[in-house]
Amino acid sequence: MAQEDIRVTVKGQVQKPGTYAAKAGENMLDAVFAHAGGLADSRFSLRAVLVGGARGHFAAADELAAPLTSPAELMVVDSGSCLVNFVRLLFAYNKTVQAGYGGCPACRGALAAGARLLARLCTPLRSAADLTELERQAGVANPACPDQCSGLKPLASALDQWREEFAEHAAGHCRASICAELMLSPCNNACPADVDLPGTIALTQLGRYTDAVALGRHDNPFFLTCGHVCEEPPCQKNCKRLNFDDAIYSQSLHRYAGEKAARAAGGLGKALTHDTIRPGTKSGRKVAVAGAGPAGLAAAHFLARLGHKVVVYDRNPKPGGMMTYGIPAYRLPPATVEAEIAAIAALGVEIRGGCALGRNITLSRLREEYDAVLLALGNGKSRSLGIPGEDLPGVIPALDFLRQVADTGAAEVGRRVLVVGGGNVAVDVARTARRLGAEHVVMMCVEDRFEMPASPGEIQAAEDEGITISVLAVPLAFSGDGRVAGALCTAIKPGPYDVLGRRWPPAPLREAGRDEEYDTVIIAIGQMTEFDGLEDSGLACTKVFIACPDGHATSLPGVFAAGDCAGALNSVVKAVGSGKAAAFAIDRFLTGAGRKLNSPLRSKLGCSEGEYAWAAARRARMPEQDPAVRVGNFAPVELGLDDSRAAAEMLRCICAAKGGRQ
Amino acid sequence: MKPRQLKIARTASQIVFFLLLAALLVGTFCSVSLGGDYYLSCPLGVLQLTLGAREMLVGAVVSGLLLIGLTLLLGRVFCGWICPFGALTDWLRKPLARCRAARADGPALHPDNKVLKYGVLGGVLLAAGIFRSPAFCTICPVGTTCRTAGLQGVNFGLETATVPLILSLETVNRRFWCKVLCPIGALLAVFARFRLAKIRLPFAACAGCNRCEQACAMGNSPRQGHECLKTDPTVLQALIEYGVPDLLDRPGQYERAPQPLRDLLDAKAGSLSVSGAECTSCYSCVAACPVLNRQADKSGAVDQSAQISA
Repeated sequence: MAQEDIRVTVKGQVQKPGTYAAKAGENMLDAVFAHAGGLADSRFSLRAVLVGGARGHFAAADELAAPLTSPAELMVVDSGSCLVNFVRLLFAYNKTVQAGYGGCPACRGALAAGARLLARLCTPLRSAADLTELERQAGVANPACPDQCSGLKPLASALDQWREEFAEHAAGHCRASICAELMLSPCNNACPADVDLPGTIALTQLGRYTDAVALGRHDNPFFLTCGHVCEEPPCQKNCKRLNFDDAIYSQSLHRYAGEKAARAAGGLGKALTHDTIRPGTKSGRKVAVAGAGPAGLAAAHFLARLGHKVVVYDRNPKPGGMMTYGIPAYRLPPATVEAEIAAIAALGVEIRGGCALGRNITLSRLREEYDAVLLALGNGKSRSLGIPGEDLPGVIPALDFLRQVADTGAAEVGRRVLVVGGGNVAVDVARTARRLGAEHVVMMCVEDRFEMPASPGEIQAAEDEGITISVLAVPLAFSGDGRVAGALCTAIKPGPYDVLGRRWPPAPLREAGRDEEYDTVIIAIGQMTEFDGLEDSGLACTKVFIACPDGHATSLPGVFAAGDCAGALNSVVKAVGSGKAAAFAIDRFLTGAGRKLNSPLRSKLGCSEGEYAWAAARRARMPEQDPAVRVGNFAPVELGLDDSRAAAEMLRCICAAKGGRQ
Repeated sequence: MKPRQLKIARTASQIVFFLLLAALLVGTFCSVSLGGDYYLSCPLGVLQLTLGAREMLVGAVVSGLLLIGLTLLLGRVFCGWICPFGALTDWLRKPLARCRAARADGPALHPDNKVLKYGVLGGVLLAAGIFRSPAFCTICPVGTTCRTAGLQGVNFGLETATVPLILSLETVNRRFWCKVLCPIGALLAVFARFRLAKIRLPFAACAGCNRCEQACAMGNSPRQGHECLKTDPTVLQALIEYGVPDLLDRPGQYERAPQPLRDLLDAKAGSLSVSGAECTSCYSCVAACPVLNRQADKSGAVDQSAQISA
């Protein structure tokens, strides 16, 4: 029996706003992602759905997934919007525009007070008391009100679901980089490591390359590493230049400054030594860091500058974690990582390789010997598919494969390689296999093209190198006699939309199976933390991460956690940010004082320093090695900007960040 | 006129008036003969004279009203385009900024109290009434700049010290004197708020880059109109109808908005202006605005309506 369609109006940040007829059983997510074509801007994810216009409410997760029962008007908000600001504007509207809304004295008063408080929260006048007062006003309810106090509904439902975003505002941080008065610049505000990007660009413009690198490394000890590997950096999400064309290509400018500084100083190592980055006055406290990845080493860098004695343990012989063993050399030259790690060691940080937690050292020993312990173990274990034949020789977990290539520079992959997974690691693996001589490399992922977690630039680069991408497909089993020789693959039927617009969980169409021949299969479907050596330590863990309820402190006093093992981060710069925050948390634990590190270079200059010239150019194009040539070598694919391109790129920055004024 | 040309025009005007007032015209700015019985006089000087003499001198009042009339028409163009002391602070901007940077680590001052100058104005008028003479004129940096050197001879009196002394205040903040202390500016500001020619920036297309704010020597917030636009009831109604209430906050969204919405935003933005009592009409904000620069690039010249309209 055909049921009647439900009319749904979708507007806001979607591809095709309009009114659609939703079939029975469809939910709001179907309306947003299927009918309205998904989000307008692929750089953002779905943040909230306001149901019922300015006097409606923000739908909670279960409401989004529940079948629609009545006609609805949906306003779609993506993650580029600041919810506090969004609610502020709704309140300003509800307060002034009558539009048939009478309300009662109680809710009119609450609307006026709420509008004032929300406006304050978007400016430096904000305080924690504003939030408390706002929550009180949001709770105003008068059963006798002719309009059921509906003008207050957006605020009440937003506070229910995203109180932490309001709390961040009360503390002076806008996560979407929208509330301009709370920040130095959108790029600096969004950078997880809090790098003063306007300052580094200004110093580069002035030709003070060593200073620019020092200012970057003041906040991010892996500044130059990030110059190579920051993919879709957060700093470019709400760049002011997007008003005209593309965001500023800032990571390429970091790299440019680093290369110029190295040339001027006669070596990368020398270019990284600077007066402003020095070990602090000795505090006499000792800190152990387990894990020499970006999070652990960044924490060590800041702890050493705060004057603590730091020893970093790592189970691998070489430090660097994923930067050394995970990211292939064609994306990140090993010399850059080595130089930046050497600069951290030069601060007095001791790095002990080949020392695994649980095997050579235990957490309880570390707790006895040191005043504080930081666990930055990373996600070092590849997930497995759990299908027949996965234990055959020739079926390799992604990280083992990348590690072998990083160690020996070679691996036997044969002619045909199947890579299972659609993330950046899968792309790294596929491109590495291609460079090792595989002629036919297939990346197989359950997602469709637009849902793949890998960044679009990486996918494009992989396709340029002749890698086939097979979407909406999964392997069901691997077969072979003594070594993997083939895979039974099948198409999948995508599941229902989740809040990220991905269709999950997918269902394999078993009857459509086909046999494909492969010499090697590499599984790159994600990583997880290894808890080896932590089982009997009494450390509280969630299912996949070390539990840190607020900040970085764990359930054991004096033990902290940072990086991927404390929550999914998946990028170097986020790991650095996490390690940095943990370092200051440890310092507060050790000294009891909330100390900060200052650099005389920081917040002094904005991009507009000097004569401002308007540049009409679009984003500089990164020169790359020719795809036909680069599949035969591990030399960097991206060649770096030349002088004229870098100069033009720096002039594109229109944003007069408050640099020098704050 | 292209934004950049405005900057050149202003500098040219400052040079011409500096030479005229400080060197060539006999009588200096405080009262310049325009030929015959006509004079152009400093309105504050005239007001002090009137208070000091306790009687209305019709000729003096009329010559003082000339500048006030100009202010009612164009705002405080005197401060931005004519005043020789203001010109001096503009020309010495770079060395003064270096001094400012050098003392940046010193004790923090919060000198941007723009109301203070109205107090100074009151004090000056009170003093003129008490002493029965224009007492302030002897230490007025604008007047002394005019009187110190020129065809009328070189002045070696104590008042020569005024200009460097007041200039040293600039190490606290840009145009500190003009912003915080100048009683002439305060008097003109009273009339400038009713000015007819207003300066408009492209508030609807505003990129929120803050360049105008940084360019403003008077420490104003020229992009305030953008903030007003955001919470305008008609605009909010249209934006909520469209489904993106925070369209004006999001980079690039204005350019993608449908034409009727953009027309509404442009029309609303056209009714807002930057200028008020504290604007010296220097057009630095207009020259710095990347949106206007971009439009100029596209069309060859800035659309006049987007910039200046009477």
